[in-house]
Amino acid sequence: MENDRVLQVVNLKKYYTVNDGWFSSGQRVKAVDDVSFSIYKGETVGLVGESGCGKSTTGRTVLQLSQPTSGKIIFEGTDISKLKGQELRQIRRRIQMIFQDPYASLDPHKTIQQILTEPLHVHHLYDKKKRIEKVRKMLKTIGLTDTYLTRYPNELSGGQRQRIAIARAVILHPLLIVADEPVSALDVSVQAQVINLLMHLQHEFQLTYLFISHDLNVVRHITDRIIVMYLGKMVEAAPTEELFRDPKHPYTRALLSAIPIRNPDEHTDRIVLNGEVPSPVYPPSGCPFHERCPNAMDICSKAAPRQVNLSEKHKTICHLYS
Amino acid sequence: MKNILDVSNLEVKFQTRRGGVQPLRGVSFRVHEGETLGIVGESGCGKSVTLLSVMGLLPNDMAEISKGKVLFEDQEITHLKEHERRKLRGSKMSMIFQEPMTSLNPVFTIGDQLSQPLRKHTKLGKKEMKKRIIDMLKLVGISRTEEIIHQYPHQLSGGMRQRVMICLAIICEPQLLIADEPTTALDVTIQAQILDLLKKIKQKNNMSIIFITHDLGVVAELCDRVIVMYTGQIVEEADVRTFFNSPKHPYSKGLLASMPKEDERKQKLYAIKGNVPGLNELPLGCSFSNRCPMAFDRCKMSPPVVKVDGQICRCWLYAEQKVGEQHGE
Repeated sequence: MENDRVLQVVNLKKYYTVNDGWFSSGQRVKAVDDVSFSIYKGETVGLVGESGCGKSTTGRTVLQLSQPTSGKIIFEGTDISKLKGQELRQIRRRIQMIFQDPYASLDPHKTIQQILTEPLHVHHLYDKKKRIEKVRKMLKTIGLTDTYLTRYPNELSGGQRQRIAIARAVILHPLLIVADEPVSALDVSVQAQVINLLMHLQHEFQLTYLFISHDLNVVRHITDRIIVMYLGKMVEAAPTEELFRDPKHPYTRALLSAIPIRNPDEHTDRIVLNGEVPSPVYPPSGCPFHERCPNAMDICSKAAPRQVNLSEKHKTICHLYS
Repeated sequence: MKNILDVSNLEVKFQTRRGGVQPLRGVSFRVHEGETLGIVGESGCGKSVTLLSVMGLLPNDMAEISKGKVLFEDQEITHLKEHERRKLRGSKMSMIFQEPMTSLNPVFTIGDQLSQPLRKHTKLGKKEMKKRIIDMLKLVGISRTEEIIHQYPHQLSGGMRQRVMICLAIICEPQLLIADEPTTALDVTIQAQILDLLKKIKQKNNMSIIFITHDLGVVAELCDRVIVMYTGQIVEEADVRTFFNSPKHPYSKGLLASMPKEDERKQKLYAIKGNVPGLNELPLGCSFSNRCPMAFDRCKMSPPVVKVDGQICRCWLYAEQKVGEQHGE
C-alpha cells in the first residue's frame, strides 16, 4: 500500500491576504486550513464541496500553481512544495491539470497540432517526427481524426475542445491528473462522452485522478473515494459507496440530500440548511459548520472538532463522534 | 384548464453578419393556469430565444419574429408597441435570469430596485410600498429585511441576490413567471432552498411558471409538464411522470439514459454520439437524424408531429401508429 502512494498532502494550509477597505490592514482568508489526505496509484479521488470551500485552491496548490502557506505536498516520496525551476518542471511532467473552461484553457492562436506538441516540446521529448506521430495517436485515442490537426480551437465544439485539453494533459503520460470541474461547462449529452473518455484513459494509461467537482451525481459515478470540504476544512472522507450509503457528518448529509431527484416518483427526505456558507474572512468559532448545523451542541461553537477515524477509510471531523 | 400563454407556430430569424439563421423553427405550446412547465434542451436549442420572444426582449436590430402568434391571456402580444409591452412586463409576466449579479443594477440599493416595478405598475403610497417590499422580502426568506433594503447588490451573497431577483419578479404578483436557469449558478444546498421557495410561492399566488433548465433532476423536482427542444423545435412534450418513465423521442431517451445511475457506478455511461449541430449545418429532414441510433430512410424527410397517448413527439418512429392525429398547427 505504502509503495502505491502517489500523493500525500500533510497539514496543507493556504492563506490569502485581502485588503478590507482603504485604511484597515489586511485580513487573512484561510482558503485551505489544515487539510491532509493521500491518493494511491490508479484511484480516482473526488474533492467535493460548495463554492468557496477551498477545493480548487487545494487542487492548484497540489500542482504548485500557487505556493502553500505551510504544509507538505509529497509526490512520489519528495516534498514538492519547496522545489523550484528545473526540478519543479520535471515534476510537472508527472502531474497535469484539466481545467473547467475549455474555451479559456486553449490558446486561440495555435492549431491543435501546436497545442498538443507543446508539452512534448517544453519537456524536450522525442524528435519532431516522433512528436507528430505521438499527437496523431493521441487524437485517435480521444476519438478525433487527423483532420483536426490543422484546425484552431474556435472551430471546435465545447466537447471537442475539452477532449483536446484532456489529450494535452495525457500526452506526457503523467502519473496524476488534477481535473477541476472538467465536465461542468459541457452540455448533458456531451458530458457523458467526456466522462467515458476520462474513464477509458485512466484504464489505458494507468492514471490517477484528483477529481474536483460540485456535481455529486458525476462524482458518485467516477470516484473511488470522496473528500468533502467545508469552508477550507475537510469534514469527511470515505469510500464513495460508503459515503453515499452512510454519511456521518451533518454537512455531508445535507449536501447529499440536496441532490435533485432522478424521477418524479422518487422521494427524498431533504435536509434544507438554513442560511448560507459564511464568509471565509470571518469564519465561525469552533466548528465552521455549527451555525447551520441541525445537530449543533454547546461544544460546537467553542472548540474545533478533531478528526475521528470511524474505520480505516472513513474519517470525519465532528464532535458528534468524538 | 385555462390557458395563460398560447404560443403557436413561432418562428424567429436572426440576421448576422455571416447571413441569416433561424433559431426557432415553428414552436407551439401552451401554459395552463397554475402549472409549472419545464423546457429542457442543450445550448443552442432555442429555449432562451423562445422565452425572450414571449417577453418581447429580443434585440430589435437583428432578430425578427417571422411567423406565428403568442397569446397571453387571449391577447396577441407579438405586435405590441414597446410602451404596451412595458405594461405587461414586471406586472403580469416577469422573468428571472441565470446570473443575479448582472441582472441587478449595482448602483441602486435593493429597496430602490424593488420599488421600481411598484412605482410603474401600482398606485401605492410610499409607506404601503415599503410595507409591500418588506413583506415580499420576508416571503422569499430574507430575514434582515430592514437592513437589506439599504444595501447594494455587491453586499449580498449569490443565493441572497437570487432571492432578491425572485422578489423583484413576483412583487407585482404576475400570472406568469419565466425562470431561465435560475439555479444553475448556485450551489446544491442553495438550489434546494430556491426550488423550495418557488414551489411555495407558486402555490400561494396560483402563478404559472416556465422553467428553463438543462438539469433533468430539477425538472423531476419541480415541473408538472416537460417540453424537450432540439435545434429550434419541440421534439417531445409530455407530463412529467410520462416523460421520465416512458420517453418517446430518441433524443429524450438519450438525455435520460446519459444521467449517471446509482447502481451502475464506474460503468460506461450511455452517450448520444456527436455534437449538437450549428444552426447553419442542420442535417436534412429530422435534425437529430445524424446522431440518432434509430434513424432510418424516412428520417431524411421532415418528421411529423405525432400524438401518442397524450404525449406529443416529433419523430417518424411513431408515424404509422396514429396517422391523422397530427397535432394541430
